[in-house]
Amino acid sequence: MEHLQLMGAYILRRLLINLLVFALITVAIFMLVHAAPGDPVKMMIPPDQLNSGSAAFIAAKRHELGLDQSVFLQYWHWLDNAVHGNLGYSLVSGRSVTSLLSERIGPTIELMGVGLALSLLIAFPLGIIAAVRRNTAVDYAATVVSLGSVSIPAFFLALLAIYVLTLRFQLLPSAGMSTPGASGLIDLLRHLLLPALILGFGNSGPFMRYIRSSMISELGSDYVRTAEAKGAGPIRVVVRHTLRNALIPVLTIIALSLPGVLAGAVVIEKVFAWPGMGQLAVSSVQQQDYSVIIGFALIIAILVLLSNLVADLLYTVADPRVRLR
Amino acid sequence: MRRHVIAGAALTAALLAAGCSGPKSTDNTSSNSSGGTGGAAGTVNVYLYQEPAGVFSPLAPASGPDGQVMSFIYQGMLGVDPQYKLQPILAESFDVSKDAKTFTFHLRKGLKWSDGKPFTSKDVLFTYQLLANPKSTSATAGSFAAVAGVSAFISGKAKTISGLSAPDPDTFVIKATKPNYGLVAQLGAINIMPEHILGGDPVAEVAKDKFFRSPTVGIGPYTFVAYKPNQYVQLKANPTYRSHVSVKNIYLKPLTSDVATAQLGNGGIDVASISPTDLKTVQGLSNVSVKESLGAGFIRIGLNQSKSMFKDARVRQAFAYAINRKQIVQSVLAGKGVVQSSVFYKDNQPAGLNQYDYNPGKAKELLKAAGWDSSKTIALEWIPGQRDRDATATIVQNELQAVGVKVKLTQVQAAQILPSYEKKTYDMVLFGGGNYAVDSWNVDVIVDCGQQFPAGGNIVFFCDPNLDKLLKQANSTTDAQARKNLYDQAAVEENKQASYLWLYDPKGLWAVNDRIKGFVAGGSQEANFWDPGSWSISS
Amino acid sequence: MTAVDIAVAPARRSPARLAVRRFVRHRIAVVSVGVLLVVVIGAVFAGPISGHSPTTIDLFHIRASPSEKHWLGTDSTGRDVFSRLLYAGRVSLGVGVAAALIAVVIGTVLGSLAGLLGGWVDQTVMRLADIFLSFPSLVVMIVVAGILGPSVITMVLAIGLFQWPTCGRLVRGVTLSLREQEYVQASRAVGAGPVWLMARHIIPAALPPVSVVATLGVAQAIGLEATLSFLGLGVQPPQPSWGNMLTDAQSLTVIRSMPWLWLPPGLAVAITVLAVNFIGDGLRDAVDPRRS
Repeated sequence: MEHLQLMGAYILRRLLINLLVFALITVAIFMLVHAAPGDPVKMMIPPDQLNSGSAAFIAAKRHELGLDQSVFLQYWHWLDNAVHGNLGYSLVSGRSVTSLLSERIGPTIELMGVGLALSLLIAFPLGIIAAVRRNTAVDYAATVVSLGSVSIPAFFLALLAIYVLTLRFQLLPSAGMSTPGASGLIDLLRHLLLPALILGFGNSGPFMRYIRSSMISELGSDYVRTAEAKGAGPIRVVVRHTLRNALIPVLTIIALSLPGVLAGAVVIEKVFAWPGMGQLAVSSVQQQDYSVIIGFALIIAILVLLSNLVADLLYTVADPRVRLR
Repeated sequence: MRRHVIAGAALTAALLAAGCSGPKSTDNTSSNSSGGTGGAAGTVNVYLYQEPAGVFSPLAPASGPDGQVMSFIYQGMLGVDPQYKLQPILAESFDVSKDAKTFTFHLRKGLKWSDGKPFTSKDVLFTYQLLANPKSTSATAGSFAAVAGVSAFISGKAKTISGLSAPDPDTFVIKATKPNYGLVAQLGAINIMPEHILGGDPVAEVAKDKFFRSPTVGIGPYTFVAYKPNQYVQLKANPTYRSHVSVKNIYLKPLTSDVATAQLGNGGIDVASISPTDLKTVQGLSNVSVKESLGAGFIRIGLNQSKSMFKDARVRQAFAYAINRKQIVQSVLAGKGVVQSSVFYKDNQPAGLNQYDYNPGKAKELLKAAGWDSSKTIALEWIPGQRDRDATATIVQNELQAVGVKVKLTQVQAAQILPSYEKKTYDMVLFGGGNYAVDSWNVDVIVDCGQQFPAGGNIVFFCDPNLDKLLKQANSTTDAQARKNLYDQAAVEENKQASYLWLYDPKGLWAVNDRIKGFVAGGSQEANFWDPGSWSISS
Repeated sequence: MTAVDIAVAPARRSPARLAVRRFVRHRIAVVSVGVLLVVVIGAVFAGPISGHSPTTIDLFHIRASPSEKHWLGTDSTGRDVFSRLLYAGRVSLGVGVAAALIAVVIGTVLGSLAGLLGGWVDQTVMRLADIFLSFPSLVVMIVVAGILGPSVITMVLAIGLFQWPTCGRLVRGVTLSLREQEYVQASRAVGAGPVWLMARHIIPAALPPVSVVATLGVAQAIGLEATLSFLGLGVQPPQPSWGNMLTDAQSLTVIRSMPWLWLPPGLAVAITVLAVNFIGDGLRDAVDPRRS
């Protein structure tokens, strides 16, 4: 009972700290955007027409966008709106940022989800085999592969994959989420496979190393030796016992790796023209659509803080010995 | 272990299902399951080079893809064809008074909006008044400064604009403050909005009317059906259009140019603009032809003449001689473009202008005569992103270096360009765009002494009173031949003075599936579609 | 055993010698040192090796395939790809090393201060480290580049700012363990200040693990620079960088028919980052005898 109370207090404290950090981040982002050069309203008019007649338009638009108020007032209004779910409007298309983000978040979650799944599918077998066959050629090969996954830039791997699979062998499409005119699960999977595979491969390295090292330490422990003495093969032992113990730590690692997976997704979405949040972020950065950039930065901040919170909780669940200071 | 695998698979499946119900729509009728014989009967698939903003409104700031969609569903009194001639559209003819101050448009009789309501001059008057009124947040209010009565209206002294009037349901009249023949080209092709739908909105609210996100009532050959973000804009034939439209459905699809090129090959896309890089690939496709058309805007480098180093015309001429523009067109544009050496569009130029053919020796001579300080480094700024401009910037730097001018390349963002004009801080700026083809008067805004930024578009702060006089005289002349003579003289004058470092006029390249008849290529990837109502599909 | 043996024996077993021995046992790391050396030499002697300038254009031979004159062909304005590849190495290596150095400096200072002073200083520094560690550096740099405009200096500073926590935590750990040592306590009793302690004790003790972290940091920085430049938000043309040489490859036509334009820079990044990572791996084995 006391444990639960302690945990509750701990969660509350972490939540409050996270909210404070989040608020500070929003202030920082807002200030940063206002330090940016240029006037987004003036950019809406071609230079040929920026004469006295357009002065009235500029004034009206600035007033509409609230740009004629002091920075603090603007921040306050923005915060007020944000809390109510209104993140402002895109400077390029005028659509609400919330609707832009919400229609893009689905494809990104798909990509990240499948990518993460694939990365575990790669990392688990490799990690286990490397641990079981420690210090042999297989282990070294696995190490090389895992180092390769973090060293080779994802966009280069993507270009190579496009070269081989799309152009040489015409197996898989190289862009977009669906073939115009076609729809259905098979078509989606064909478009999803390549980007998810590359995203997954890029994230598999650290997982593989973690699984390998935790397997190695488990394999050296008493109960494993006992089971081996009783005649069970190492892999069976591993599967039966250690994975159950490793589940929560692995989930923790997964939670902590989410921001990194998102970063990978941003680049991959750009190369494969996958219509997700990452592609929106890159194009809004290129078009200097500040409202969307701020909205995107907020999502990142939320994701990071949430994943940290989840990881913290998992730590306490996994190991009650952790002092809930 | 098995449990975890099953859980993982279930999770993945759930995520996939969640994504499936999102942006993927299932009612896409132009199915392409046969993948090779082209789209469904009566449907044309058109490539959009960029995702539209989704606001299809003449009041909104100009946006390429939205404008392209509007060219199917809106029309103006006049239209500009790909040869940049004004053609009668909703107006069957127009007259210009002898003093070039009054323009009378005679609208076609008996036209109807797609909801059956009659089209009259009331709609035209409503549209023009709204666009001229800054309170409506019209982005183009500035171009109405030349209309009589506008300044009185803006300052509040007058309730309406005296220069815009509709004396009867089939006539619309524009009066200019001064003789201004070019006003027809500037104001004659504006898309007309339906007064019976938008007339009730207060002026400050019209622009936000939901109508513009779904303009289902129109007077063009097609009407708007739906816009699915990241997927397509869907249009259908307008039954009340004044002539028969044989294509039943149009889908405009924002794609990457790579996907579009691939889709051209398998029939998923019928019409697409392409870049010179992909020209060979597309020419290799068997059922696709490539059509081209010269652009209306020119790629040029502005030399900041508020700085003393560029005030001498010899320096500007030297720069023109130093650049091998013919070779740039050959290499960078795969030959699809023309060298530009004048502020006037090719067809509007007189014969015999100096084309400033590549001559580094002459360039060095002129620089020496003008006393150019070759220890100075000047900065060339531009907004990166378009292949041809990026390559051109590098080439210009190299070739100017070869004649002793040190150039530093500076990539900038759009937000930084305007302040550099306002503060007159830039040295050289590479940019393109503009429309100087329809009427030669359009060039005045970028070279006139009185149009120096921010009063107008003359961002190079060029000033030649002789040129201005000739231009203004030409614009006040109603007689076509006399006007041409005056513009020709102006062209010779500007050619000598080299107001900008003109580079080239790129051609718009369009790939069309051979089953589509009647398609006419526009001058650039963002050009509006001309007369799409006359397209037909041959089986 | 002769007197000579006794005198010589300790030298043979000095910590540095033992570390080098352990490093050499990691064969891939040794090969990587060789590879990195090739890359560095290529970058430093780019001009003489390639025989071309990276900026001279040749409009009559754009996108030419590899030939005797141009070993790796030419790019979209006729510039020699091989020489651009070598010069780009300077930028990528430079950014990598500079960013890692900034990270080490900030990390050492903050980490040792946190360890020495404890209390709220420690709490604040650790909190800051947590925040920087948890945010994905690439995404934040994209946002910052979008708002302030791309620039190499911003990029180097940003990468350094995201890498300092790893080093900082390490140095803090070292500081904390040193604090309990008798000789350190003695120095403090005599009045030694934090700066002196840092210079005399902390830095030498922290150097081995920090060198591992710094090496891995260089690898990560090179990868980040390549990705950012590829997106157009890092090193700006005409300055060649392995990343921005790959930007041209975003058209299927280029990918399919002109592999000489994008394969070399991509391979260059991959090989260099791999090599540096392996060296870091080897260093890790070398400085920590418990691990091999």
